[in-house]
Formats: sequence, structure tokens, C-alpha cells
Amino acid sequence: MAAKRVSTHGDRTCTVEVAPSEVDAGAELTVTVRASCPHGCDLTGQSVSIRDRDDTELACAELTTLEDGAFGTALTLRAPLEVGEHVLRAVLAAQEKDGLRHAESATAFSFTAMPHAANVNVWGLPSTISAGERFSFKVGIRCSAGCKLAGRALSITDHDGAQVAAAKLCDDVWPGTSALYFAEVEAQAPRTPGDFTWQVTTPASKQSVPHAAGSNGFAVRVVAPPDHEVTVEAFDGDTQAPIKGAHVLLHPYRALTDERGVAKVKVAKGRYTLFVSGFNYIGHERIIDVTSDVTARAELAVEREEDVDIR
Amino acid sequence: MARKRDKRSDDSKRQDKKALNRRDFFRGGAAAGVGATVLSTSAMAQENGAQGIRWNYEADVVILGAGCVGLHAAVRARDLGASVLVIEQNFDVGGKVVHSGGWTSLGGGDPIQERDRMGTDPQGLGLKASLIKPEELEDDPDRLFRDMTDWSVVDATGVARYRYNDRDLHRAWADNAPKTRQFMMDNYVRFARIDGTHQGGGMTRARAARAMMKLADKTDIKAGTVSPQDRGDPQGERHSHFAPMRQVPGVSAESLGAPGWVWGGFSIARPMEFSAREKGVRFMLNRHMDDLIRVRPFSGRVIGVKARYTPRTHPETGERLESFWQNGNIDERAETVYIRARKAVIIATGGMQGSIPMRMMTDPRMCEPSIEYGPSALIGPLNMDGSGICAGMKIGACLAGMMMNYQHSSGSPTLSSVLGTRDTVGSTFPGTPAFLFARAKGFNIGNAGWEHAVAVNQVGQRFYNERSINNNSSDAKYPPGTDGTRKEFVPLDWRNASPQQVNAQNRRSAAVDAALAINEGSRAPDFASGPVWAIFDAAAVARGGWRIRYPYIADPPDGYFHKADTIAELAKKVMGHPHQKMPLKYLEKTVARYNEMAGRSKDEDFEKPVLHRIETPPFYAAAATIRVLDSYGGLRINGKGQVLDTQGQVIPGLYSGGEASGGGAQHGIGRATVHGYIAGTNAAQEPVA
Repeated sequence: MAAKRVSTHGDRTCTVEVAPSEVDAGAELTVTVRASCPHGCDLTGQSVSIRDRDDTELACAELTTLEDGAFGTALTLRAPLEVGEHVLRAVLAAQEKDGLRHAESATAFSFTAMPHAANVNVWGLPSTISAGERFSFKVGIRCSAGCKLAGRALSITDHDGAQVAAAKLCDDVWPGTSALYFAEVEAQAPRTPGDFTWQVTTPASKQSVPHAAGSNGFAVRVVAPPDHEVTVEAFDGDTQAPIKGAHVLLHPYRALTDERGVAKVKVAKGRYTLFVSGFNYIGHERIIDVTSDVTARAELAVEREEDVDIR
Repeated sequence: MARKRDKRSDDSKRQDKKALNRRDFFRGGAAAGVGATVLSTSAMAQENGAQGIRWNYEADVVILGAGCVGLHAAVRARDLGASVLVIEQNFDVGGKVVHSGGWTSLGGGDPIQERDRMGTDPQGLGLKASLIKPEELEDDPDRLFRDMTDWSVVDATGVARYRYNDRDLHRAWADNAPKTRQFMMDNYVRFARIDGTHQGGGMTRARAARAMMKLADKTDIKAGTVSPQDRGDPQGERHSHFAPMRQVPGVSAESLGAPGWVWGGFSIARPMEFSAREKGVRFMLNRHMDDLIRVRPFSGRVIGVKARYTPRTHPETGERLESFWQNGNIDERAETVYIRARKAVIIATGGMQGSIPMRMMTDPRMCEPSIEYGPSALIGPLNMDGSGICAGMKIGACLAGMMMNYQHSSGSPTLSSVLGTRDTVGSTFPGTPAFLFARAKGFNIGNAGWEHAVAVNQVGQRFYNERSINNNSSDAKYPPGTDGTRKEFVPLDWRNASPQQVNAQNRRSAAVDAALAINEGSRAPDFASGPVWAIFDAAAVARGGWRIRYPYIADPPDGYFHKADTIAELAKKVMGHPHQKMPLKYLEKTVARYNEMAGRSKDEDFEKPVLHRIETPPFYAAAATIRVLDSYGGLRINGKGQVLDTQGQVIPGLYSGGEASGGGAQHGIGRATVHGYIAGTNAAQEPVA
């Protein structure tokens, strides 16, 4: 039997793309390998192996024809929990077919495993807080990889960097969210009026999965104790019916009207622009001087939306 | 070649009769009293110049499109003795009109104006008293023509609605408007009391009434009744195949003087369809006209069309969707057929806003692919694709009024307050097959709702005062004093268009222009602007009571509505939108700045009067689609509906009307019904080629 004649081709060219190049530790990433032979060989079916520095195989697949016409494949890997740069190799195995031999070739590539980021959100602060008054608000933290953060500590520091409150995240996520863990926080306002920026911070954690520290600033508006009460009555300009849920703005004071179309706002004396707005209404705006308790009636014109239908 | 003669039939077939297939049609042919006959059923026809074509079907009048123009033309031509075959790309008859509100603005002393002027109810519909003073219903064609060409009218957006209207076209339109009203009534269409005048219907008289049907135990077109099942239950979030229309808030049949009735475009489309089928008009649905066939490329008569099979299938089951009624349908499934028109072809294919190259003839910014047009989500991607106009151009037709898209608010791009759906026009509930494609009805936050959201472009940057987003829609019409027109209106008076008048009333918003501007995500060669997003939080949803659930948003998701725990996460999720090319890169910065400005109650960027912090999770991104409703530029036609060539000469055997034609900035059903009536009248009287 005649010996089989084998020709050896040059090295196959291999390119590797990693997405994302910076990935949460322990999260998935996609490695797309493209290969070509200098002689234009069909590489379909040839195998590619992803190996770490110890030459342990992490994943393997056969080359196919990608959408762009190249020979290649996309593999899903899970990033190590160890934070930092990781260098792997994409190895095209030696292959012999129809008298042609392709030698093994390897291409190194890298990605960076990152500690999970903490996205910090603050909401529910009163629009104004009287000096020295206790107030509450909510803090929510979401891990970039959606990890459970129940029990994670957070602290609130004031404009001077002093800690004014601390809390731990609840066991449950905030309603309507998938992984936003939250805490109800109570603090005391500064004793002098002004606009302050406070900070929420949550420390880094290096337990089973590395988590970075997180922080976010939020505005605290402290006002002098109110002098007078402004009663705003919102009515429909067409029907004279009270408007429930109309928004009342006497900057910086805000309120919503009740079932009777009434909102009561305690304010410091002074001149204000009263703005009353409601869904389906044109906003009502006027200047009022508050020197005593006052009632303001706001008739809101119905906003007749241009009919966009194809009638 | 043997030719089967047509034979009219008074045999009204039951509406639930099984559709005919091609062989049934051929075999049944004249014996069944059908309105179109087959010349040849041979295999694929061969094309070898117009003379070499082997026709698969033929009829006296071939109509392209089963919408408002097509239905009216078909019935009219059939009434005059022509055999009629209607080709429609969709699976059902009705085009836009079946999804519309059915408000029909005609006039010129039409029978409904006269009825209401006299305060009578001759059809015994149970109408209450007229809604309009008698003197404001007294009308005639000369007045209507003058109104429709009144150069002096300027609306609140600075648009002169009537100034550019083609005079020949509108003289004919005014003369035929009263006849068309009677024609519709003769074909089972009932009207409520006149309650105003629709867009582009003139300033001095009330001329519009809504078509309606009476709620009853069963649907009976001749009796004018519709069953609850066929009506659907919009309050119960269900529409029907029979009546797939949106609701216009605040307009009850009671307020139209017609208690017990329900109104809508189905009250035109279904009666006209019923009448057409009853009279023997044949329909070939699921078929799109690709080419007109003229004796020679640029001369001679138009003698037929080439059309391809375009079935629409259920997106889940893959089954072909079928029309509500099927009697009179020709179930032809060959890929291509050639259809001879012995007398004429009528192009009733609608507008061209679905064709990016063609709509760019009016406005180069319309290269943006996310712009939605008409009720395309319902009627399909071939709706308003400009194919009728394009086919006319290929055989030498001239265009007219391409700038008129910008003489009408519904022909120019606007930003919708209906969020979370690609269907920003139809607003249809489940129950109609069309909903399978729209996927979501959308939720309407109204103009005022924008107080509680920010609008951002494809890179997440604000671009305008959101509270002014919808202020560029206007419509100069009766009664004077609305939409920025002078209350002391005098027709043709220069004071209507004086600088003082125009400046005093102008309230045009440039929000959509800002939305269509080049931004950081725009890429060569078109530098398209990308989708627009409304960004808001859970607190806004609670304040507005916005219905962010199925069927107002899609389930499973379709990419037009997203929810996330954080703004950062939301910025990435929008990539699920079919036209969003990148994450909202600046969204976190935009929201942070907005919240900071909200704290100071001062929008230093866009002067929005009231701002609410966007801070309460979860956070939402809902597509705020830019839409174009109508087309007002198209084939140039004369007063007879004949298509003209670039020399101003009639192209023999070719007619058009409605949105496939140009020359008038007149909206909707009034335009389409009369154009159909005119084209049908004249096409039927053409000599046999």
C-alpha cells in the first residue's frame, strides 16, 4: 500500500475578540475566534480550544462559517473570581485532512475580571426639610452582576464628612426591581438652612465574590421653619370639578392635591411663583406674595390634544 | 384566444362563503356571475414586451388597493357596468379607513348637510337635534371650492393649508363631494349628525359627520347594525376583526346626536366592502402590484399590471391570515400573475411614507428608519410603500405637490405621546389579527405627561423642552377662531395672513426637528438621528396612572419598552429596539443633571417649566416614536382622476386618487372617498382597449 502523501500548509491565522473586555468577576464573556489558512482551506469542522496558563482546557468548539463569511466560532466562558487581567490561549489543534496538514497554532488573548460595581440610588427625600428636623429617605444598591446584597452595610456622611446615619440593606428587593436591595434611612437635618450635598457609601467586600465600594451624592435642602400656610385649590376650568393629584410647586416647596383638589403647603414668607399642573391640563402659573396664610384658587384649562387619529 | 364575457350579477352571496380558489374562479366564472373573468389559466405568463404578455386574469377595471379610494372606485365602476378586480397587498380589505374614526368631511350642500340643516331624520336613525346652526350648514360646491383654495388661511403653526391646492383637482372634488355622500349612503353607510369639519375641509361651513352603525344583536350591513362581538369592546381592551379601530377620547355617539350607535371607520369600510362583494366586485388579496404595463414604455394605454403574491402569516403559527369576508375573493397563490385591464387601472395604493428613498424626496431627514408611517404596524410593511407612485413614474407619470406633506401636520413628522409601541396611530387592542403585528397598543401620556418624563435621543441626551413636544400639530378648519385662525374670519381676506395675525397665533414647536438632528450617534452616509426615548421613573407612573402592562406594552417584549433597576442598566437595555444602534451613552449624566436642575426648579438647558426628579426605581424607557401619518405628494392627476405624464398629457387608461396622488393638502376620508368616486366613474366609461 502506497504511503499517503501529506503536504504541510503554513500556520493558520487566528484572531480573537473578547466581549466585554472588562467583565464582572464570575460573569460570562464571549470569545469569538476567527481562523484562516493562507492557502484558503475550508476550516469548517476544525476544533479550537480555549486554554488557561496551565494548559487546562476551559472550552472547545468546532469552527463554522460565521455571518461575515469567515471561519470561526463564538464560545462562552465564565470569568474567574480573581480580579485582574487573565491571559488565555485559543489553540487550533493540529489537523490532517485530504493529504493536507495544518500544524497546531495558538493565539493569546486577555480580559480583565473586575470587582462587581455597586450602583447606589437615593430617593424619597422630602423636597424641603426644616432645619434640625428628622427626615427619612431610601437608599437602594444594585450589584452590576445582580448579586444578592441583603445585609450589606451603608453609611451616610454629611457635607462635612461626618457620619450622620448608617443602615443595612433589607432582605427583599425594592418592589418592581430584580436586584435592587434597599434600606430606609433616617437622619437629622442640619440646624441651619441651606443646600447641602450628602454622601451614601457602601464599602468594598471581598467575601466569596469581590465587590467594589460604591457611593453617590444627594442633595439635602434645608429651609427655615415655615411662617405661613398656602392653601391651593385646583379646579377643572371646564367643569369646575376639583382636580385630584395636581402638582403644586412653590419652589422649593412641592405638594399634591387631595380628593378635594386641595393642597396645603407650609412656606416661609416671601414671593413665590405658584405653578399648578395636572395630567391633561395646561399648567397654571402666577406670582403670589405670602405674608400671611393664604388661599389660591387655580383653574386649570383642559389641554385639548390635537387628535392624531386617522379619522 | 377565447374570451369569456363578463356578466353582472345581482346574486348577493353570503358573506361567510368559502373563498374561491383560482380553479373555482375559472370554472365558476361567468356562470357564478362574477365580475372579472379569466382569459388564460396557463402556467406562468411570459413577458415579452406588452404585446407578448399572456394574461392570467382580466377585468374592465383593475384597482390597486382595497382601502378607501379603492373601495369607492370599485363600487362606483361596478355600478356603471364595469367588471372590477381589486388587488390588495394585505390579507384583508379596508386599508387605513377600517382603522380610522370614520369622520367624513365632504360638503358642498351634501345630503347630510341638508338633512341636518332641516333638522330631519329621513332614514329613521333615531337622531337627536342637529348640532350645528342651520346657516352654518348651508353650502354649495362653489363655496366649497373657494374654501378649499383660500390662499389666506394660516394656522397656528404658520402653515397655509389651502393655498397650494391644485385648482382643477379641487373644483372637481367640490363638484363631486355631494354626489359622493349620496353614493356612500346608497351603499349602506350611515352618518351621525354633522359635528364640525375635518382637517383641510374648509373654514366657513360644518361638513364632517361620523360614519356609524347601531349596536344590535347581530351584524346586518343592510340594516346598519353591528353585533357586540363584531364591534369589540374597547372598554374591555378588545377590538375585533370587523372593527379594528382606535378610540377618540371624549367623543360619544350620544354627543353626536346618535344614541345607541357606535362610530368608526369600520362603518365605512365594511358597508362599502359588503356592497362591493354583493355587486360582484372581485378581490385578489395578499397580492402586491409591482409594475404597470403600458403598450410601450412611455406611450400608449396602460393595459394591465404585474403582481406578486405577498401573504401575511400569523407570526406564531405561520398560517396565512384571511380576510373577514371571503366571498368574491380569488385565492390565487402563484408567485406572479399578469392582469389585463380592458378599460383602466386605478392606482389606490396609498402614499409613499413607507419608502425611505421616496419620502426623502420631500424631506432628506426622513432617512431615519425608526420613523413609523400610517398604520403600517397594522396593515403591513407594504402599506404606503410608494409602489403605485413608483410604478407610475416608471411609465412616465409626473408627480405633484411633494411639498404638501408640509402643508399638513399629519404629513410631516411629529413626536408621539403614545409610548411603548411602534403603532402610534392605530392604537388597537387585541382581537384583530392586525394586533399580532402591532404587538402593543401603547400608552398615551398626553402633552401634559411629558412634564413627568424626559425625551432623549439615541445617545441619551435631551434635545428640547419636553412640555412643548406636541405643539406643532394644528389644523385650520371650521369653525374660525380655532387652531390659530382669525375668529373674525373673512374668506380670502389678507388679514387672515397678516404678519400680526400669524405672529400672534404662532405656537410651532421644533421638538421633532431637534429630534431629527444629527447627534453623536449619527453615522455616515445618512447621519440618521435614531430613535427617541421617553425616560421616567416609578413615581411618574404612579402619578400619571400610566398603564404599563399588556396590551399597552408588548408581552413578550418587543424592544419598544424597557424597565431596569438603575439608569445605567436602562441605558443598555434599549439595545433591544430594532433601530437602536448603541447604548444611551449619556443617559446617566442626563438624568443626574435633570435631577439636579429639578432640585432647583430651573431647567437651564431647555426651560421646561416644571421638573420632577427621576429617582424612584424601577426606571423606564419607552419608545416615543416619530411618526408620519399621511402622504400629500404623489402622482399628478387631473379633475377626472387621470394620471398625467411629465408633458402634462393624460396617460390613457391610468387613474389614481387619495394618497397615491398629489396636489392637495386635504386629509383623510373626504379626500379618498371623492377621489375613488371620480376615478371609478371615469374609468368605467373608458373604451375597451
